[in-house]
Amino acid sequence: MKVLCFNQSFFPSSVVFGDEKGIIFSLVLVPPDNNPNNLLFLASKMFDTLGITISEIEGVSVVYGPGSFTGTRIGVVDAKIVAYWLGVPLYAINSLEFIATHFEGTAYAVIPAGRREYFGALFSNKERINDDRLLNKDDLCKLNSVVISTYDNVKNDFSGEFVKINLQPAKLLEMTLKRAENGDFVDDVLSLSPKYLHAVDVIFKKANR
Amino acid sequence: MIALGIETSCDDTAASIIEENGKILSNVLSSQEVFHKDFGGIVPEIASRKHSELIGYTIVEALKLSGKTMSSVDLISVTKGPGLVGSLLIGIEAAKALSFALHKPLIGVNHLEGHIYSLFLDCSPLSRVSDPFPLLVLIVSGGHTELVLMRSHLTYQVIGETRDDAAGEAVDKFARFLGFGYPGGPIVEKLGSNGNSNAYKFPGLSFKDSSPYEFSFSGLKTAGVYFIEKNPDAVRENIQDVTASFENALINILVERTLKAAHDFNVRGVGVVGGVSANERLRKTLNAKSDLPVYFPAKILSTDNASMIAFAGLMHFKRGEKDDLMLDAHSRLGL
Repeated sequence: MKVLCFNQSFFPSSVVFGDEKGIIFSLVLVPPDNNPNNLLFLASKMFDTLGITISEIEGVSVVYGPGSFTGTRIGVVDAKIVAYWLGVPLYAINSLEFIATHFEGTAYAVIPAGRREYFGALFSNKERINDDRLLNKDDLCKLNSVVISTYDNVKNDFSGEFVKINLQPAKLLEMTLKRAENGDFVDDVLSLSPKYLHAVDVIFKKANR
Repeated sequence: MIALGIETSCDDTAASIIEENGKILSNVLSSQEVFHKDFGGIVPEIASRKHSELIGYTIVEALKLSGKTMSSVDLISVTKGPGLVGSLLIGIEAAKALSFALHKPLIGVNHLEGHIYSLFLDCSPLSRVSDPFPLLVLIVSGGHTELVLMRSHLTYQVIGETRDDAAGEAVDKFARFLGFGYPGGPIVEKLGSNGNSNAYKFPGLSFKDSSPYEFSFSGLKTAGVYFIEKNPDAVRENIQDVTASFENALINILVERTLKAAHDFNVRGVGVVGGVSANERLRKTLNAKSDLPVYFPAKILSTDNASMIAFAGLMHFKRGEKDDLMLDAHSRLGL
């Protein structure tokens, strides 16, 4: 089954196309050309260059957060529109689970959420131990497990053992194919929304007045 | 030729299907008003979140109502700016994803140009005028107040704009101080419709001769706010007259400048577009004072909609223009 997988939710944005035999192509965007809304253009060029037709896509997956609000939205809109109009299944991948697949052992996977806050969840050998949560700088400092992230600057707020993850698009492909094998697709493709752990600021302020 | 239009520049998620001659087959708008009204204005992050939830369904609904399928669409036209960048990006990504998946041509359209082309849609009287140029267009909305001279299709010369607030912005602020919430324009219009528009004096423009085609509404806005603070009895007892007088002062500025420009540039007609162009007092005043034909879009097409985007995109596409998947949002795009 050939699947197209998007991650614009956290750094680095990537797209991978492949099947059970492996990757057919993958792209990882690095600075300064890492605008997540260029990913479709680059993927399109790869399809053209390799002579692959869009109709060969049999499934689409997307990293749906938590992560960058804008990047995640772009990825989710790209994926659900492509999947819906190609009439293929859509698979939703959690960003912290994606990071956790890169590490053996017990670790807290984290993604910076801005304003020195972090999205995080604990995993043991890639299995989720707790739900995604929003951590502030102090929460992060108090963690007594290994912390893993694709972002180097997490080290600024965490003095314990930190492992920088070099993102492998192949892991996203593996996760997607596993979801496909288990029939774990999004029931109503157009309903998929990004996972936000932050309320919109004004709503939050209003609730706390 | 069939075009799909997508518009997400502010707080409305819109999609439309039109034919080549500007005939609207469907015009769908998912309003977010209910999500923003408690905050006194648009909250950009809420708008972006709602657009990403609604965009797919809105396109599906537009197709369904038009009786067309996506395979019959020949062009995807989308607003590229100006507007809220997070909102624009959702429409643009949806358009790009459709173009990618279905190999359909894509074109990005200036939102202001879209408003201008609401005048040329099949249901507008201007669409039946064989040679309307030169045409003066007043773009007047919550975010823009501009006078644009068109000497032919798709050519624009901005001859005047506001120095500070847009007309719609001034009305919204006035309405907010009256406690009416957002958007205030329609409420002020409704209240003022039976009021005496000469009951209270609000200021006009102070720079009449130096910049004859420019606007300014911050002075009027401030005068309106002071009036509300200093005259609670008038607001309580004569709200209809207060809103009518404020609206009248604002419309007089718009009408005076527009007709001066129309005369100086010797145009054949005047078009008025944008959300404020739905205002009945503006329509009546301009029609009464102008000796040239004045064209308005249908009221439903005065506010943001995707039919105008589809049609402006079609006009460009017929000239051989199109965009690739690098299309990006431009929050401060000018004409």
